[in-house]
Amino acid sequence: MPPILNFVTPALALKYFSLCFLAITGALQIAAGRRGIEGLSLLPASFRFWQVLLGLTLIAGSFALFFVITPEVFTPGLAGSELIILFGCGGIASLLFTLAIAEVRGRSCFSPIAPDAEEELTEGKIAFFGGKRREGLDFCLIPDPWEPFSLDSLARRLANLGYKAAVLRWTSIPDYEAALGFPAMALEKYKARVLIGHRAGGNIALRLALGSGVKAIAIAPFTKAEEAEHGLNWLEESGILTAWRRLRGRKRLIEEFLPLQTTPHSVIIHPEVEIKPWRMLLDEKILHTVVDKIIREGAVDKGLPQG
Amino acid sequence: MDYALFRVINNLAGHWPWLDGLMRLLVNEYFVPTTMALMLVIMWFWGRDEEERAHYQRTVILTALSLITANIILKGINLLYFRPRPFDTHQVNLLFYKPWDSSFPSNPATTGFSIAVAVALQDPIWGIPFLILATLFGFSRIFCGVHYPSDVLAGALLGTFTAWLYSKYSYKLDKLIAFIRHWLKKLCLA
Repeated sequence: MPPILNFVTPALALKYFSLCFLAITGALQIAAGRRGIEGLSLLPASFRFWQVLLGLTLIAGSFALFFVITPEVFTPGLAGSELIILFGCGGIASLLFTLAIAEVRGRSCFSPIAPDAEEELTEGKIAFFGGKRREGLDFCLIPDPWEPFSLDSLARRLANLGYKAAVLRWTSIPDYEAALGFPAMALEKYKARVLIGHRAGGNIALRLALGSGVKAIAIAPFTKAEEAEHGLNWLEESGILTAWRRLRGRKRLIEEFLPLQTTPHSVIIHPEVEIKPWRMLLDEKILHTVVDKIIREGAVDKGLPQG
Repeated sequence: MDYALFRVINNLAGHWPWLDGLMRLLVNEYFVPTTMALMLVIMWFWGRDEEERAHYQRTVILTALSLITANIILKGINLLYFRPRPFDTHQVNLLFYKPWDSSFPSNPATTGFSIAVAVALQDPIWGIPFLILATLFGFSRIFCGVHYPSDVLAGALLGTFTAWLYSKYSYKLDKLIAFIRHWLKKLCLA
């Protein structure tokens, strides 16, 4: 009885597998470059032209190589089922390779910055920037609970401009009550004049401002719960593991903070076109613009010193 | 008539080395099917938003089903009917190896058109390059002397039929498509 699958020779199977692996990697680069999918990009997603070029080169190069090193192309070769199996294996290998490289390359670098002082509270910690005096804060910064150091560089910049800022350090993943409780308690204790939040932290800041009359500035808050729904959209901004860490199981909490409700004093800084909400605080130029907006908005009616 | 047309096309072989080279590139089992599959990979990830992704991914799933169905029917026909290849019974310009399976219907034409027409029926713009590739694939088989025109025509009709079937009754597959996308979404791949 003939074998169900006949790969002719292991060398031919390996050559076709290699063709599929390289060419599918190229195809993924074209799609990722064209649609800006960071989590499938071997190069930074902003290098769109180079990414498409890399994709085309990989496809053309892999075909050229395959035909040069495979004289068996013109002899009885692999049949449909074998081709499909090898293409599938090449596809899976290429996908895993691309996801892994994109994750390592695109890992967000929100690293903690040493504060001037730190205090431990029951619900979490609070880090002070701009002197050790803790009362009468200008800004209280609420990072996204799943990206706890995203506002450190912003706080340091504000401190360098002469403001007093404090960043909440989440020590546990909050539910709705805790998400509001910890910042509310910090707000009451340290009397901050302006709340600044990023992503879910922005939603929290806006919600707190509703009841307290404090000014809130939300940087790229969640506007739709679908942003936390599993899907390819998760890969638009980061590698797959980073996206899972930031968004997995968050939909319900985000839903509880929607729709966005603002007071007349609240300000929302939406990411501009082509700028991704998590990345906007990693880019020096954008961060500079955000600081300018914060100073402008935060100083308007609260008598903050102009930096 | 079939043989006369075969002669006209097959007699083009051997005159222009560049044309022979192009046809040898197209005729094999690797180039066109792999290129089409790569285009489907790109299509899967092409959508800008959920609505576009749903459209493109639906197209890819229907195309895969059309291809599988066409190949099952093709195997059935091959079991019932065997037609010798042109080189078995005539003197031909042969630019490829001698396949031993039935000439009718053409396997490459069935594969090519089951993919191309399925894409074209869902998305005519994307369908254009697929249809060009499928047509060249079928033509190259006659040019290189391994199929009669009627084999290619029958394969194209079979592929077109399965593609049309899945296009017409695609609404019956909504649940299956949603199920596949649901699980791939969990892996962030849809």
